[in-house]
Amino acid sequence: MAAASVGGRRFEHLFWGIDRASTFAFKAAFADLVDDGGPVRATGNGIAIAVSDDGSGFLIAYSRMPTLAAMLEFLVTTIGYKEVDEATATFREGGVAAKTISETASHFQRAVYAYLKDHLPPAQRQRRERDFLAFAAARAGNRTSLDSIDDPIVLAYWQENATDGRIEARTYRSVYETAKRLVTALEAAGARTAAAQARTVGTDREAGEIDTEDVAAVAELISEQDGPLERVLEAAAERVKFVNATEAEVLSEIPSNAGVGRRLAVSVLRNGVYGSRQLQLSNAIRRKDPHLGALISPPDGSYYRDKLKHYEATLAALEKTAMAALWSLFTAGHEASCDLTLALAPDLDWQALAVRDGAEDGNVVSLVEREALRKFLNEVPDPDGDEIQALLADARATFRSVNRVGFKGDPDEETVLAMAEAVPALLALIAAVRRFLDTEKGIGDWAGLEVSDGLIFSSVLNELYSGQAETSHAG
Amino acid sequence: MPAETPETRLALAALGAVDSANSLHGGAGARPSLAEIYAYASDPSYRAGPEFLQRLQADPLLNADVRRLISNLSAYELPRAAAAASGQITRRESAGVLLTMTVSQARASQAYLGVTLQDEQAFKPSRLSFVGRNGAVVHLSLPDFDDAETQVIVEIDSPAFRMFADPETEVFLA
Repeated sequence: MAAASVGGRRFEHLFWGIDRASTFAFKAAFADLVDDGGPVRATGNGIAIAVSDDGSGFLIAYSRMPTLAAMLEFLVTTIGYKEVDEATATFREGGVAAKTISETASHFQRAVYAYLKDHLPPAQRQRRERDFLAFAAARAGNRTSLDSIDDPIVLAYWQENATDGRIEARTYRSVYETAKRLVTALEAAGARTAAAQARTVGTDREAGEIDTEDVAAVAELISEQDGPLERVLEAAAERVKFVNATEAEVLSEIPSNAGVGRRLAVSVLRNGVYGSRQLQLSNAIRRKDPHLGALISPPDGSYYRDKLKHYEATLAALEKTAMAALWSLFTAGHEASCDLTLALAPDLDWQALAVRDGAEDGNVVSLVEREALRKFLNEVPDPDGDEIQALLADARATFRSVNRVGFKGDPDEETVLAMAEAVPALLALIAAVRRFLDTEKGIGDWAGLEVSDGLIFSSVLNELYSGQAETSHAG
Repeated sequence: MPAETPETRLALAALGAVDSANSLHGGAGARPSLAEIYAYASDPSYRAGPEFLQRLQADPLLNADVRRLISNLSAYELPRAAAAASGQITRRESAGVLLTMTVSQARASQAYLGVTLQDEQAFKPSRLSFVGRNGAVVHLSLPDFDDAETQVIVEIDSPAFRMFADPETEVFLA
């Protein structure tokens, strides 16, 4: 910053006035720095700075500047530009002294610690993740960390830790979320590590070193913002109500990650039933509701099977809106209607659209596809016609039966675009729910689980809340 | 402790990175990057997003950062003016520079914003920035100076005209 401020320059222009923070850009930015005998001068590799009060000096390499720029950006976005500007004013304007450097560094350290104290992610969650992995590893046998995370481990961890206060694991939902995050992260890390086997130069993984590019790649894969439900809501929520609030709540219980659905199939249901129940209990205690007993006792009847029926009904509603969207997109002549048709009716007989052309050339194939699309968009709905015509007639009837925003009358252009934009995420969401329900069908004894889980959960919940129940009742 | 395999280390590091990114840069508490503030404060062609503008209205710290950055990047600074008798400011003056706003005789819908430097040899600015109430910023690109003077046409119903007339507005030239 001192170097960037020589001769009345402003450091802001250097760090934020360039298109890309690269070695080359920083070298070019200092190219016209004149050596006037002052403490700052440009060299071939970087900027040399003489420290005024102890006769020492240091060199900041151009190649190091992008990293330093990122650190400065971090400081500005955390503690604020004003504070950075004020704290660096002395050495930007009055020369670089060792004492000033030390005081400024201490100032930043204090300011960043103060910021982190308020903003760091909950340490308890990270502690629980490590503790959970250790718990699973102790019971893993020859299995990997990933394979050791399964339904029995999630339940056992909660049973063992919910009440003892050693670690924050009071709610089943928090333990389930931990397991879910770990499965997602371990799967992504496993795939990344396998792919990285061939490019181990420069990083000593066995010694515990982690490549920051690997961390960034895995972090991107596990980022929570990217689920298909969120993308459907984001793409179309205001213009097209593919999913209403109740359905969104139900769908949010179903993991979009196939590995989570497969490894934690029963835990998903336990979270849906008992995770919600425990939340209701907490709210009831807060309200001093005297009727906690009913929430602690096992639920009546076939509650897991009822939950699965609820998921199936929500999937059916989702497929219905997708079918209605097919009609909107078809009447608007949008090619996304073809994608929807392929997804909603994968076994459809497309013979009627076949375009005869023996050529293999890519351009010809493209023409053939366009011709097939044109023929598809010219199809006439007919319940008694061929499979495509019957499907379109079905889509039209479905559209007329849906009473939601975006599905009334002829859609305007923006509605069509919002619908088309949401189609890929909608199809991914439908696929995720279908896949999850297929997994659930492989679990045979739901009735037995309902009985055994009822006993386990009511026992732990009783231990956790019976005191409050009495207090609440008495109060 | 968990078995320290490369996958476990990488998975935990990535989960930590996601948490940190969400906490430090996501959510309601996140500040815009300085690159965004810099563009808003210095580039007349930059159009800030609605999120940034809403944040600017509500966040006094961001407001102060924008104002300070514009001030730091400026060669001339004209502070808030004393209210004129008419309530509308038509002249602003500070060390080294005079600004005047004159409604056109030929076209009543337009006005001339004149910039006069006291020292012909002084730095000649190319950008004029108004910083109004709640940190709202309007930039004008200035034509080349003819000796110590230049002028730019503004529409009477433009934000620039309104902000010049408002005593609460600060003006910066860079």
